[in-house]
Amino acid sequence: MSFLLRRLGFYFTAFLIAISFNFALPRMMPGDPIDALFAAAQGRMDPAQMDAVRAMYGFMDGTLFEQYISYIKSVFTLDLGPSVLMFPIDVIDVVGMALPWTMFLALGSLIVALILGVTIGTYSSYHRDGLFGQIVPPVLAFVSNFPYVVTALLLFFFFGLQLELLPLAYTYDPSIEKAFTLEFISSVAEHAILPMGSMILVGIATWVFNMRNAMINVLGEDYVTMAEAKGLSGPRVMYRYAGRNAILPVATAIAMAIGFSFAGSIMTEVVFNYQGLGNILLKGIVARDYPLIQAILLILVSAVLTANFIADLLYVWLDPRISN
Amino acid sequence: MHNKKILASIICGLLISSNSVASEDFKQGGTLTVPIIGTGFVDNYNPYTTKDLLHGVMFEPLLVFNNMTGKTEYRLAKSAEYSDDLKTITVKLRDNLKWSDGSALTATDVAFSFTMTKDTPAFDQKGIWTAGNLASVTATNATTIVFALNEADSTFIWNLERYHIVPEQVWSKAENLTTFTNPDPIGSGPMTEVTYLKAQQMEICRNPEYYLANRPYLDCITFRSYNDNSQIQPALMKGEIDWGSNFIADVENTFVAENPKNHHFWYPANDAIHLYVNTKVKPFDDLNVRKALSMALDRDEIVDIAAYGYPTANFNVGGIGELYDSYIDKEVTAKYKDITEFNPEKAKQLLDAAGYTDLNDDGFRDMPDGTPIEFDIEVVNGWTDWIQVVQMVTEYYEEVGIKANVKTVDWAVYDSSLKDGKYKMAINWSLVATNPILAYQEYFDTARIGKTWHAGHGVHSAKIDTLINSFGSTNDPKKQQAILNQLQEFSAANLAFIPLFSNPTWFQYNSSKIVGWPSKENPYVQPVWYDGGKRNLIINNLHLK
Repeated sequence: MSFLLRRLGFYFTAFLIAISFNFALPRMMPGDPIDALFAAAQGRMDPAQMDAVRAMYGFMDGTLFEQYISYIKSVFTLDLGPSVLMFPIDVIDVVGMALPWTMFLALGSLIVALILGVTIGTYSSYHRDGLFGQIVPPVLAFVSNFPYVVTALLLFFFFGLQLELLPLAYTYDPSIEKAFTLEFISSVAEHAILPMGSMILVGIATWVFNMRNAMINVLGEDYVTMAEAKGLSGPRVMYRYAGRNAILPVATAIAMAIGFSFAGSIMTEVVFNYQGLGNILLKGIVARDYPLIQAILLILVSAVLTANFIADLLYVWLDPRISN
Repeated sequence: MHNKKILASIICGLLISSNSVASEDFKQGGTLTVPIIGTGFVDNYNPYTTKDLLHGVMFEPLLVFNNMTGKTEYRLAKSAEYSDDLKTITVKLRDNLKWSDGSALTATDVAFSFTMTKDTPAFDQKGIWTAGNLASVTATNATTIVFALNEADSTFIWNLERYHIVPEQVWSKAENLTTFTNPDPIGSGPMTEVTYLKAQQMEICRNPEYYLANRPYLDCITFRSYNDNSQIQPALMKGEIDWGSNFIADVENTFVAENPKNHHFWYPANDAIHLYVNTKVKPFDDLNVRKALSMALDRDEIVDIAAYGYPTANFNVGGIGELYDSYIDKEVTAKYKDITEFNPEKAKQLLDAAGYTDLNDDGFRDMPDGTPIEFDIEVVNGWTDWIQVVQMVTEYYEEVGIKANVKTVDWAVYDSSLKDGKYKMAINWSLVATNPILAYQEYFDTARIGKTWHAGHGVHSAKIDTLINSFGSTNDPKKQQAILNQLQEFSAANLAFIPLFSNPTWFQYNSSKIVGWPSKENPYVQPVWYDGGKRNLIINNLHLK
């Protein structure tokens, strides 16, 4: 129990440090939101209006320290203020609209990559001398070592632009109603194929190798040799004996991956104009929309820390020695 | 009776644009799809906080100054006149105007709309109240509004097209105007009925009470959200959108060639692009250096190679380009012709004569005291066409022995660098407005120093300030032109910026289902989407094929 308390204390401190960075980062970038607005207006705004606009968006908050204190307060009360880009909508609402799509994209691709990766990893390590075991893992390693953007743009170019098989943008066809209908669900699925596909392509190799390494260790254990000697069937040895034991270290890696998959979806969303957090974050940065940037970074930080905490819990549960 | 109706619609049509054919035969219906670069749409119909998305669509301006034809296009107003002393503007509204909910749109609404921006300074887009010249806006009867000014100012009227006319009945009840999202919006423009709104698409349909018979011809406008130009290009190619207003690389091949019959572009001249020079630092304090730097450039080549040939090279040294063709003083252009002519030999001679020679034998010129000349030309990261332009500029400079580097910076750095006059050389546009005097105000008025991008070059004079400020005290076009001519002479003689070319107005359109677009053959308005007034004129002319 004291282990968990110590970990909680650690995460709380990490959280405080992270949100302080969230506060500092946008302010360290040159330019402020109103300058950005002004530049975007290209002469259609009068400089005399700038102070009034600044006041409207609530950027007359006194010294940096005072701003920091009110920022920390806003984080814990979740009252993060209005977005500059989508004024006067609160950033919490903006994030609320985008978060489900990012979760769908990040978790969906993680789950698919995981299932495929673990299966392929198990199979290829058990049959590591066969054709499959020789060819598939290196090919996957090759594909996943492409810079992500290249993979995404290639998919975009071939399937969207050249073959016109799949939509190039959006979370679903913007002309149809958002309702629980077959049309809507299939549109969501259709629009998810390319962005999710690109993330799966890039992510899958990690799981293949995670699983493969763990499997190869386990396959050397006596009880596996014993099972084989007993004459048990291949799949039974592979899944029941080796696979089940090999998956333990993979399970803890999953928790970590959840947090990072959120960050990973940012590029995907930008390439495919997918209306999630990453897409909005990019525009927020360009416009120096402090409240929006802070809110999204807050979500990312929380996701990473929560996932790490879950990983800790898993460790405790899997390895009783830790809690002592 | 029927004939009367036809006559009325012809007159209305003529009021909108004398160049377009007015006809009752145009089919009603159809949806126009346009791209919006942004974060997506939210439930907000306040035209002041939606960054102009709704101006000219849901909210009709009083009038529109058409810089393409030089005419004033009356919209909600049927006339706007200055008093003889230029201190009062009397605006008369059309008769029987209605809001989209059927209630009457009166002078009280208009007066309220302008007075509202006094109490909410964030809405005072052109600073008409903060600048202190506007004394009052009053409705004197149901269709007359009087703007009273403190000082004579013939330029004041240009501000009127930027303000949104909103219904007093709704807006006077809003508690906090800046956070007011105007749910259930009531407007006076061609499209007022929001039929649906989603994060990535919004559709607004016709105003049942629009003041022009049969207009708009279209049923609806659909806005679609995109991240950037690179996503709009495929959308245009696939016919997903009808109207593009962004840079598209190699538009002939990527867009027109896909469907030559219906895919078109028309790129009339827009703002003039200059190299701004900081005359406060050496060696740019020497006019001969600035002249030589201008002569070293082959503008035609730059336009052709670096900018795909879309802009028009600008040989006018007077500070304005093709957009303001009718205002250009041809004598100034002729007198200073040698400055913009490509002549590297002459440039070298000028530099030699001024004492800038290569002292340390590194192949580049140095200052007379021996310090090497080397400077950065600032351009914003990602503005690819301009980066290529600047790249070519540095190559031309190298040919005359001047070492210059391309410096791509984040726009925020660029923004403060230009505003505070910290650059040595930077590429930037010039202000586009109803009249070139506003561009000169940006260039030279000392009141603009530190506030805007174009006044940081260090060339100013009290005489020029007075000259600029005297523009508004007359509305005699001849006297105004005389002032503009003096300003052109001043620009040319001092060369605070080196003219390069006129940027094109980016405009691509798809005529497979909707026609009536402005074009080279029918240039009834400059085709800019992001200007509510011009957009309004175009929307009123579009119809099904």
